[in-house]
Amino acid sequence: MRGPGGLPAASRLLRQPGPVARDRITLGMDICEDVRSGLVRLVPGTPLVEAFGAAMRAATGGEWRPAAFEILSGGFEPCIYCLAAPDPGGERVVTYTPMTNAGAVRAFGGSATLGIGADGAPLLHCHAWFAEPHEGRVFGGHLDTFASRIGGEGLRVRMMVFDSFDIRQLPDAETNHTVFRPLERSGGVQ
Amino acid sequence: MSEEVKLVSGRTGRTVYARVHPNEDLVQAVEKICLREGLSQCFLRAGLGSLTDACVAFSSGSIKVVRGPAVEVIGMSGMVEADEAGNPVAVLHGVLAEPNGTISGGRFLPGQNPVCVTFEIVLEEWLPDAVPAGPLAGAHSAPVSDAMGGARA
Repeated sequence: MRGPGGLPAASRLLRQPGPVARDRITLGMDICEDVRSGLVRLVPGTPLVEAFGAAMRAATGGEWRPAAFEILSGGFEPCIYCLAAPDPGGERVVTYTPMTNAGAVRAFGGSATLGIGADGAPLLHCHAWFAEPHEGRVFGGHLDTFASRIGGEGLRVRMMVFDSFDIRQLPDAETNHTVFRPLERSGGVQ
Repeated sequence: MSEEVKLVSGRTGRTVYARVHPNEDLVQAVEKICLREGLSQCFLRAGLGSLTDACVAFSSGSIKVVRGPAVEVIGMSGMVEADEAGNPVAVLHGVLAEPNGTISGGRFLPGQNPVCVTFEIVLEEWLPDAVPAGPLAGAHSAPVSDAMGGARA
């Protein structure tokens, strides 16, 4: 796609519904220790939020810590996901489509973050890409991590557990969404 | 045989988790994190979120703008290395889910990938054994047989 003068057509900025926060990049930082970083095979049949949470607790001796995951290989069954869509109500610039059940899929990659949700319970934010079971067509999106489960061949992930900060889902006035952000440690779910 | 394998020995250092806010460019946000925290080289270990529009380059050199809102980034890879002046340069690739469900992907163009709602990034610092002075400083060149631990042919 080309714009005037043969330059690439520019991507747009969007005016969000709320006031623009002064802080544009919010950081958490940790010193990576080998014991907190590793390769994990998640248990088939388990909802994603439980499976990723169990992997984190296995690395911490049962204590709560936030964690990030790199999806390497395996599958989801079922795989329940959605995409982004314009918000017809106009309260946000974007919302989600209805959920789609892709069945038993083979996962090719993706990322996930384990933090504490707005209700105080563990929450897993996960985007992944995968192939549907019959013709291998590739799909992907934002997974429902409560309804989606680890597939029959398991799921291999690289796990990074963070010791020095929390990750919590908090209201974001700028976007009118609740989103994960790092913040100072204040204890987690038990 | 003229082809060589370049090996860079080293270790991982700090791990950074960041939330990037709306309208920040994805590639430049990663470079800003590296500047702010003094990270010369790092691997992208996780990346998920949405872009208002996505702009990616293909191997042919052609460029595609994917219109949102929002384009979901469903897979991501890449790393940051310092240029000759020591400035961080992020090379990031992504798999995109377009609003109609079409899957595409490419190399993100700097300055053309504004975050829509939020973007989460995990960077893992790479500390090469040799003192870095450029993109592949500290690299050891070796024939493939040496790199695999075998005898030189």
